[in-house]
Amino acid sequence: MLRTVILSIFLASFLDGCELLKKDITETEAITIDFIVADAIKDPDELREFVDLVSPIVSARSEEVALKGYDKFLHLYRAGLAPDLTKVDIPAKESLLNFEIFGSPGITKQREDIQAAFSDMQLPEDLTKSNTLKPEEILSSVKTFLGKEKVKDGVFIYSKEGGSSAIEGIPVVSNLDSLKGLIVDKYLQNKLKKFLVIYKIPVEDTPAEKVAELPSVSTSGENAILKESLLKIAAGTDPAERRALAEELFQNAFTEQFYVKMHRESVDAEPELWDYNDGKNYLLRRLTSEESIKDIQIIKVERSGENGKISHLQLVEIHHN
Amino acid sequence: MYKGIATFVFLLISVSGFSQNVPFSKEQQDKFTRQAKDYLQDFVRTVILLSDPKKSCDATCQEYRIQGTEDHFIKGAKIQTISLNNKNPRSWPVSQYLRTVVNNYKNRYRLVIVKFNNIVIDSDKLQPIGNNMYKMKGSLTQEFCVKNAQDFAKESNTTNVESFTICEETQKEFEVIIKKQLSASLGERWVVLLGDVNAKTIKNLKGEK
Repeated sequence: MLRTVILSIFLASFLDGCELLKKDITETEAITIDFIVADAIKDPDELREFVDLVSPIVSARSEEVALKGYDKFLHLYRAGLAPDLTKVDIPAKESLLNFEIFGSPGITKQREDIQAAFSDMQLPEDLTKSNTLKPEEILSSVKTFLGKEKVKDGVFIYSKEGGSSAIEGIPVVSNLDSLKGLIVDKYLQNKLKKFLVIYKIPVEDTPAEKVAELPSVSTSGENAILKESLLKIAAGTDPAERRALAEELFQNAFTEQFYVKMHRESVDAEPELWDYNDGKNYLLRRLTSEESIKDIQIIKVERSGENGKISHLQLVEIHHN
Repeated sequence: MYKGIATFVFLLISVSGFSQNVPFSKEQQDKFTRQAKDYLQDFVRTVILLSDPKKSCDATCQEYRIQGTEDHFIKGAKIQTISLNNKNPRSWPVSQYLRTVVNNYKNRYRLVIVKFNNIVIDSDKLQPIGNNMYKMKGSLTQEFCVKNAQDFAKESNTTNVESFTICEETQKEFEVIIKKQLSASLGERWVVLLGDVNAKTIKNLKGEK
């Protein structure tokens, strides 16, 4: 009798465990993402990335929660026309409302519905007008806006051209996947739920230094997030903080013993400087003590079949000197 | 008679052929050479990091850096130092050199410039030195220019040779070891390690002109 009870409990736990393993991400956490547009937008397709960003963001790092920033509107502010920013909201089509009435389907379906709800967007006139303010005036008006709105954290500049790593202390992100990764990070670290993305802000006229002779580099979302995390460690100024970040990254993203092959500058021109199975030491020893890394290119990532953590990483360190 | 000479020539060719018979392609040898050069430059960057008082590298960071650099050298490798005042070279184990000699620079100097120039490795003369181990020899010129507090206060931004307290150039020779390593997870592979770095000659760059 007792054996039957124990067996039943075991079976129930086992099945419950299987259910957890099979569970698709259905839980979403509402966040808000507003946008400041600092120059004219001529093609509505440019806004597709905004829609992508407000659609549920799923990341291995956010585990079972997807961050959803969508609303019945895309919330934008136009800078560059007057010292005060102009609020411009773009409504979603009715299908989004239907989606809300009929409840939450899976994340993939939600993403599709949101993309559809914002398809064929008509650009409001304020978004298409050319700037009347000078670049420094635009920057100043945006700063004033941030001050008034009391937004300090969760602000990012999205510039596909790259250039500086930060403007007025606001991080510049050149890749949409990296931006998603940073939003997930902020949510996970500080439970931050309000974000502001500044688009088309005048950036310095110094293009990012070109990395030549690199093989095709994967730019998938997870890799972009990994790259941002590695760069955050490499660019830190406080050694203890860098080590804490490295330790955290190791715990969250890597298998206990992972393999790292690291090249300097270019895999074509230079051999590997690190080619060992002690990837933890790479993260903790080298990445936290290097001072001249300006970029990291991820060449290859392999994940463990057991837990999805990274078991193999191949990368290139790009240095200032 | 002719048969004897032919046998001798054949044996000579065979012996010289065997001595050059290394299990590496030209590409592999080039790769080893570049890797050794990279390790040397990485070594210099460690020296700079440890000797610059302005660098934000705490004790743990320095220790990590030392251990990382030490890993690029074969166990027991030594670094030889020589100075203008004492031309008898002194040898230090790599970690001791970094922990004492280099680490002490930041207490003595306000500015330390160290460069490895003209790194040349003779990859054509790869010598077997034991079971699954080969050695290459190389040379480099080390530039070492420092300013003490007094000279730094006088001319902090100038990099004119005469503005330095000490500015010297040392000719060094080093060894590169190529060793077969067996790892349970990575299998059998050849790894490059730096060997002894010996100081040969030193000259004062100040007052040269």
